[in-house]
Amino acid sequence: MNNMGKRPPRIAEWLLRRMTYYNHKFLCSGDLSEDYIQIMEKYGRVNACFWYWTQVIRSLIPYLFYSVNRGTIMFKNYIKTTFRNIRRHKSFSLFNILGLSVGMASCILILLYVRFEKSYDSFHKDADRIFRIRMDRYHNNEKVFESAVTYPAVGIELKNEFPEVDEFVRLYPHIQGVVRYEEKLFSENNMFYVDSSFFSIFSYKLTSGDVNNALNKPNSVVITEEIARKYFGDKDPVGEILIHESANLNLTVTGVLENIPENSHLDFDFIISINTFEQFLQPGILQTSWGWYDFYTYIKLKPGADPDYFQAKLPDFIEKHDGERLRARNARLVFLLQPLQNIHLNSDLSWEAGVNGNGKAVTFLTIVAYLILIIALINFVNLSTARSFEKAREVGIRKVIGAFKSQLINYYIFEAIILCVISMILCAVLVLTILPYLSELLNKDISTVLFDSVFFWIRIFLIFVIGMTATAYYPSMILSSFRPVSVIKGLNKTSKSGLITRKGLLTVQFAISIFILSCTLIIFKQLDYMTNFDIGLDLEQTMVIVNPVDTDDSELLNSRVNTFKENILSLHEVSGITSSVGFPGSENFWIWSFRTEGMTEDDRVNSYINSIDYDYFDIFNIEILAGRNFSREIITDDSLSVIINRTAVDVFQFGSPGEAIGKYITSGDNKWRIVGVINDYYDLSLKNQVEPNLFFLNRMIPGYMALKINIGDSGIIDDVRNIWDNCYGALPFDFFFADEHYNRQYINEQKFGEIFSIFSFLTLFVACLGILGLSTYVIGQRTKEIGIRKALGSSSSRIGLLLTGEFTGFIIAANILSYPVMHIVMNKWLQGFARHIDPDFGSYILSVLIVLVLSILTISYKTVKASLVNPVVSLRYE
Amino acid sequence: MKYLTLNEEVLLLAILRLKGDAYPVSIREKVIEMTEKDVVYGTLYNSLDQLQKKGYLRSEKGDPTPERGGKSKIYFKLTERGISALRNTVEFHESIWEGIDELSARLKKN
Repeated sequence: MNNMGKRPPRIAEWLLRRMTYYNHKFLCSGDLSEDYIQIMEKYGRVNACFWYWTQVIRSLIPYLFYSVNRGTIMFKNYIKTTFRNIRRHKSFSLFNILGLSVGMASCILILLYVRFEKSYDSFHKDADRIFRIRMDRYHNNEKVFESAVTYPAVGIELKNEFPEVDEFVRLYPHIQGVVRYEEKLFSENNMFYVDSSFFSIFSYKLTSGDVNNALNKPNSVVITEEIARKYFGDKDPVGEILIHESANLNLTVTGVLENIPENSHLDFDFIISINTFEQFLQPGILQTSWGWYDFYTYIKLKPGADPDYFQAKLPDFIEKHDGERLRARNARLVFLLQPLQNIHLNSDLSWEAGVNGNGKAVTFLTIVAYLILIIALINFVNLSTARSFEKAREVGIRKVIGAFKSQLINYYIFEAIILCVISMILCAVLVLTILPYLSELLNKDISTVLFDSVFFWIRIFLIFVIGMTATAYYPSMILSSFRPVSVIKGLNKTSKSGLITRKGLLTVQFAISIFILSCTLIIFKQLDYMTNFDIGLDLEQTMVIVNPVDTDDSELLNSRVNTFKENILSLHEVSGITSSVGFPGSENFWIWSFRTEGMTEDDRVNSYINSIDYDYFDIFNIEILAGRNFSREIITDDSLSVIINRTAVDVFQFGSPGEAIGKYITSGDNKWRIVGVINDYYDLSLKNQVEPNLFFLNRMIPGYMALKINIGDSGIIDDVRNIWDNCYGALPFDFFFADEHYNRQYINEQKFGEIFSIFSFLTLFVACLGILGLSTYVIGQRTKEIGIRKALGSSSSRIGLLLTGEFTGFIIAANILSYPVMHIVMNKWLQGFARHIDPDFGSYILSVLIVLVLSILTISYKTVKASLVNPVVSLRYE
Repeated sequence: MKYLTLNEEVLLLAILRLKGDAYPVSIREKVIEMTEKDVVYGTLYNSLDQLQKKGYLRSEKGDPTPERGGKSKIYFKLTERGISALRNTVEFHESIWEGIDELSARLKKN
């Protein structure tokens, strides 16, 4: 038998070696192989192998006992020395723990917010199968609009023709109305007419009433709990009758909804069965209309149906139903499926059902969250390595006493982990305390997503653990590599490359801080630009009252408006009043297609329309470029005249405003003469382009009445209310201020700015802790140099300057890194606005200066101290 | 004064009985012979290690032998402390058993 055959099984042998590495190196496997050979000679190889394996495996248990026992002894020592170190270096430990916990807490808070934004509509049971139909229309291959609403027939036909469509629902927004229950009258503006399939698509919960039949009958209404309390108090509302004054409807309450979750892109107070609405319409129009697009249409696909495949069939579907007509008009229609859960963040269409979130901002915030985490971790590395300077002696002694390098690494990693654990606890406390404030600031209850997913926390935990292990490893490598002899002698210069690494890390840290800070400044600048931009109309000192439409008697409505207008002018604080259908800052749903006399019927252009009175342009101080305003003297103005805006001049190709005067605009059989052209103003926020807009005189029942008042006078609102009560009786008096209303369109941007400023402050804070750490380290290294310089006659201030100068160097380097990134990112964000500033150099320089000043202040805390020390002390130091 | 545990006693006695030839293989055989129970090397090593730390044993390397794959045997010997510990234990046993012949006779009968 050759020698090779006598070897025991290799894997077992290897395992044994692993086990005995620490304790039984000296005994090792020689004994076992001796027995192995004996057994093999007696009983054969297989038996011997088996015996060997059992020996090895059975030895595992005693080995484990042994090593655990040994481990706990070390562990106790580690804990003891760690806490001793934390106590001894209080400020250092505080900076370290504070920096890390603030960084982690910021990261978690931002990620929670992002999570909340992404959680929209995920509460619907089959959210992944529900889609909204988005309709894009092209004219002459040019996009006319991207619409969130579509024709009423689309849903029905889709269900009829495609087996994969399980169900559909249409929502018709009912903008405004006055609702009465007994003596209680309120103006409501959050209503939808919906199909009875509403509850089989969406998972809104009913607290009372029958989900399956709630919306089957005409004149049924389902209300939210909040509304139920408003009208009925503690009474059970089911079966009660609500009177819809505007539409003259008696609505039977058939169900009460749990309040709509905050993360729902649809928000409503009343839902009314669509057949209620149908009574007023020409029969069949809801089933067949391919012209009236005011319906949000949602479909639910059958399980397993591929939405992409389904969407690919839609062009044929359009061709079949509308192809001829579209071709005749040289137009094109595209239907797209919007996944329900994407609507909140990724949909910015015309006529959205509510204010949606900004997906770009959310992505941006996610990046910021991770950047803050990176800063915090870098900070941790810098502070820990900085402390290594103070710890060098400890390392030296430990090494002399006989600690292995690996033991030291273990120990320092352990120490870092303890710090991390403390920071994590603090971080949890921070998150829980700040969360309610953040929720309040954002006006969204973020805490709802706090515990809804284990995976989120597992992910966060993993990111933290991986990040922290990586960061803990570096300082422990540095520390353990100190050579005992030189350390104890006091010569603890670490390698130059180590210092370069740390400076590099600090540069990255500053680049990130400057980046976030300059972004914040630009965001605020854009906000400021938007709120102060001359939108072309004057909304200051303007009080707006919602005109309650409580009857379909237009004569009564009009006369009431007129009486109110006349009476209100008797108040000396009121300098003017105007009424209109559309109001700046509210999305206009009135859009119609028109042509000029020179155009064919197929070239018709879509334009927004507004119905106003004589004083509209005066009250809002809108400039008339050509022609004249509507005039009370000219009797034909109310039916034959139109005023258009500057954009409309271009869209209808009149050339110049002056040339447009006297031309005609046609729609169907009606013809209007253009009597005036007004300058463009931003009817909606600066996020939108100015659209063509036509103004008619008193064509429709006004929705709003705007009063120019002297707001400084506090009694004015009561005075207006008195007159209101005289003219309108008990009808609800709802008002708002025009400028506030207009600026509310920027609420998302404002929130975004606020969040950003908070977190940029936190980033700066953490970065400053980092620079403090590094300056301590560098100055510690140069104690002797400072002493010599002073002994040779250098002044304290010169030394301070010298030390500070070095740090300024890499802050400047950080700029070179961050500027291009900032420029690209901010350009992207600003492109979301029709009117925007350019990311300018000024705010960038400002942020650099802020960072520079802050860091110099931080550094000088240490440098001043170092430069003031008596040279005798610093020279004796070694 | 600390007394030895039964396991320690067995191990030390086994080494004593083996005189100069006490290395893990022979010790294990002896222990199995004495106690009629199987002993795993892992346990044996641990115990030897402990005894050595307590100062009852000392070890020395022998010559490498081919049947061990070129590894040398490690021989164990009792130290003075080990011997006195054994002696103490014996005395302790005697002292606690003193005067209970009757019981031991009865035990034997059963």
